[in-house]
Amino acid sequence: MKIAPSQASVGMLEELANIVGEANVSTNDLFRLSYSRDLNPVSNLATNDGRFGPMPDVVVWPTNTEQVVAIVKLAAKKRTPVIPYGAGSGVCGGTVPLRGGIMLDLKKMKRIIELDETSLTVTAEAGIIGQILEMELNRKGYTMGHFPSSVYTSTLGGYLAARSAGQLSSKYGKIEDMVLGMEVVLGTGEVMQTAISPRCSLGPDWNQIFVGSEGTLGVITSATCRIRPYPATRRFASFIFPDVESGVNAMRLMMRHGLQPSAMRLYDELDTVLVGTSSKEGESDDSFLDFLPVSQFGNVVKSIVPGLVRRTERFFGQRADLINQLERFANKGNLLVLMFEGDERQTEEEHMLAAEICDKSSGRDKGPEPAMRWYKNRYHVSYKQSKVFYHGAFVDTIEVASTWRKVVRLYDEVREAVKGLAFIMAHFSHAYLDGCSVYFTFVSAGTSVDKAEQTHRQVWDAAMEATLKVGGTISHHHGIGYTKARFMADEHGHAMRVYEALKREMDPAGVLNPGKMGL
Amino acid sequence: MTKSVRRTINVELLNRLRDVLGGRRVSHSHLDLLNYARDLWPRSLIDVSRGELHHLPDLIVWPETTEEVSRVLRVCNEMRVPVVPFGGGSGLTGGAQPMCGGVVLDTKRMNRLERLSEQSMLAVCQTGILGAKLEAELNRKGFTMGHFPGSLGTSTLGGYLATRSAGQAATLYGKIEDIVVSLQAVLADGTVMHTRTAPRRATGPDFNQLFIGSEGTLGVITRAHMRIHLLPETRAFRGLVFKKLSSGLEALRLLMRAGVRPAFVRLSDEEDTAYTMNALGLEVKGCLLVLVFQGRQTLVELENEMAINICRQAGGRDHGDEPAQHWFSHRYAEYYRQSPIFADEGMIIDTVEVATTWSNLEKLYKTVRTALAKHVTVLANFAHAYPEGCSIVFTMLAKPEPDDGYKLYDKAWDAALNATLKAGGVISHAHGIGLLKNKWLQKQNPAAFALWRGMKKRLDPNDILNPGKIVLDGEAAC
Repeated sequence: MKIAPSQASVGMLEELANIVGEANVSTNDLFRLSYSRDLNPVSNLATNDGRFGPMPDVVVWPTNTEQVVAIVKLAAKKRTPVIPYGAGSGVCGGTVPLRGGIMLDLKKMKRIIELDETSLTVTAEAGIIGQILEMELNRKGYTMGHFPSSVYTSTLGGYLAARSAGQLSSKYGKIEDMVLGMEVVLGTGEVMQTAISPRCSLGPDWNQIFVGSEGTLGVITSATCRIRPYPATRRFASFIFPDVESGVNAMRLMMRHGLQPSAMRLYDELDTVLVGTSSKEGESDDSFLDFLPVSQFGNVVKSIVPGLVRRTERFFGQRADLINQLERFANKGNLLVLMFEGDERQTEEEHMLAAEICDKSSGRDKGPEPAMRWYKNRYHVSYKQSKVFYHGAFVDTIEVASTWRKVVRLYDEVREAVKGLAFIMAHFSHAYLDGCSVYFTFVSAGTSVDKAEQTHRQVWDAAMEATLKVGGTISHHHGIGYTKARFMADEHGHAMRVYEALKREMDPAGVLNPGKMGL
Repeated sequence: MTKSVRRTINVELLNRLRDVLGGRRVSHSHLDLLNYARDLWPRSLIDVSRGELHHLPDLIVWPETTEEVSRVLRVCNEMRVPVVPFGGGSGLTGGAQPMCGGVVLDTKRMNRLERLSEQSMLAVCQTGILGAKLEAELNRKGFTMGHFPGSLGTSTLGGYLATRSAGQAATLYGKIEDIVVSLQAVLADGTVMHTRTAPRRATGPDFNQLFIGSEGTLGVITRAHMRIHLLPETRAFRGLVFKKLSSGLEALRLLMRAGVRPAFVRLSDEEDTAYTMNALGLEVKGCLLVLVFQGRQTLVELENEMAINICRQAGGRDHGDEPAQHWFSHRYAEYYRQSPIFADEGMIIDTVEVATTWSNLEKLYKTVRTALAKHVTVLANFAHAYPEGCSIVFTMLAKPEPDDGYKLYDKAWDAALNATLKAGGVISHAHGIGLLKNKWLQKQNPAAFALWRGMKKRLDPNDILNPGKIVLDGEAAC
């Protein structure tokens, strides 16, 4: 395997070494290879095929904001792309260096700068890993409440840049609700620190412009976030609904009545099979969302799925539909898991109200166990996907969202659009007063990587077209990167003009993460 | 009698706007021009009491649809005529003053609640609708938007969005940026853009948040999807008195920390307490904390009980529900008393609303209070409590010597906002920037100020949208 040589000029490498020190600059091929991809399935497919995508020319590890400023200024002067990089756990290719350039890894900027226990805020550098930040907070009796399934391999800066939402967002909010203020290095090298206040009316909220900008407008170097006391109580509940509609209805009513469960997830029938509804603690633990149908569906699926790998796409197409019909036999119902956190009596009240609402919406009480099992296994999803790829198949997730009125239709239409192409299941999560997200998981395969890539693209095209037709949004929390960039014009319409103006204003040289976000 | 000067009418502009809106929705009557020459910035109440209005518009227009707004803007952009979006005119910072004349675009005929989605808990509204009218219409159907600024009866939804408003029940229902889901805005060249309606999106920056707080400088917000809530089943009132302000603040902070969410919360300092309690005919010394809980019966009872416990432990004495009931039923009264105070009594009155985190709150209070007290009488209350901090509303009162009004007013504000910056607070919690705080925003955050100006140049290259705001020190407004 040959890797194209770095295009970084000797002069630029010297300047970079002057900024961050020689030890923090590398053009080593192994590094360049590691930083050439994130966890998006297109990159995964290519990697398994022994193919490389575009590579960065150089990787740098700044240790403070001044160094970031100097690097960005150098990049702007040299018109060299610079790509802010956290832990590389993105699933949309947001950090893939499409045009080469400087990979700016922020993980050496990982200090907790201040914990203000009186004001319940924490200020930390952007490169800190989510789980480390959370553990530090836990030790002092606090939580940030931000739990994406990638929490072990993602950074605070990544959460902000990608507009992340954790599994407990219904209670603790999404990352945009947690951030009070942040320090950002613009494409001009100028440093902007937004006001740190519980709230202010000082014109546009620039935090919310940088949150979700995926490295296109600035490099986030530190942030002040809200934290909460570690919950005194955790309370679990599970219900089985006869159909998706009644489960979604119960979710909607709980939000409408002001309940704030920290987790609320409704699995459709196929997904329910994977989660398991057994009330026996420990049973089928390891199968939870393993994503490998081979190991999960037991005898039924074992006989079918190897076909994904061996057979032709046409054959797979038929099989995908066949597998999708398994739900008729699965007959496990639709599982809703709930978790409440906080004051003991408050959670008790909330639990009682929730049970009342679920009961009225035809939910059968399954006790706390299925929800507890979900909680125990909640991060497994992020770390088991690559196994699927070893077998030549691929797995990906599509997380869309809409208002309650449209959400079941959104679910139906996306499934309908995708069902001939891939095996697809879904859960409803991240519930809000006005709607929720639908999280689809699909598995498919191709006889060759090219064919697999083609199918992958077809699935996305079909799913996004269906989503936009229903009036949903193309992403609830994974972001855009480059793999969804082609849908941005339809998502935003004329609002893209605003994004383009922001880009020109903040990154006049056009060096920040170029080629992303449909810009 | 006014000393204000009217400019000559631009006949071409008048005719083109009449083509768009018809004759009756374009006005250049002198009375209209006077009415739209200011908002409720107390400094312009001094103007009024002196019979001097300095910035008259040339025309007033009343579009009824987004399409009409778009056509008005296209005409004005082509002719390089300023356009000042105008809602209820209740702003407290001069944000709607037509500094460079031109067209005042009154949105109040765009006042329809277009659709109510009871399933998705959304109200789709034109932005010229008055807050009180929208709330009444929602109440009739069993809902509330939960946004209650003191100006509710004379402010519009568009105004809330454009000034980044926060209502008295923000602790429970959130501020305007939390309530809005999506909006439609017309850019300077007439382009109509909208953001997508979804409970949450990770599709790039949140463009809503560029227009919210932009105070008419980046676009005209014409329509919005707003979150609504069920009307509360019940309401519980509580008043507690603390001997020391610091123990009241500690109680308030611990309430927030414990996850108790009163809809309304207000802690008065001693001076403010005396004022409030006197009105109630009660003699109480100390600092009054007013709490109003609302929502589901069982949860409200629980929260009320938790609150009383926390307050007692912090040294609060329970005064039952009467003080809170009284405050609640008079909570809009203050807003409408200002004009007579200026006009009839020759006094000046204004509110300085700042905010900071809990760890910095007492310092901010003391610093600003001391600075203000050198010039005016000061009362203060702490409202809009959040788990991370709280806002402070200082009321300043003074009776200047004749002809000394502006000087005293400016001096007091200089003192208050310099002190705010010194103490690490933000210069506005919810009233916005306008003319009043322009120069302090430059000091508070020069980079943000520059970005705002930069975006204005890009989205409105001819500078027609509310010109003369966010200007550099010493820069000519027009």
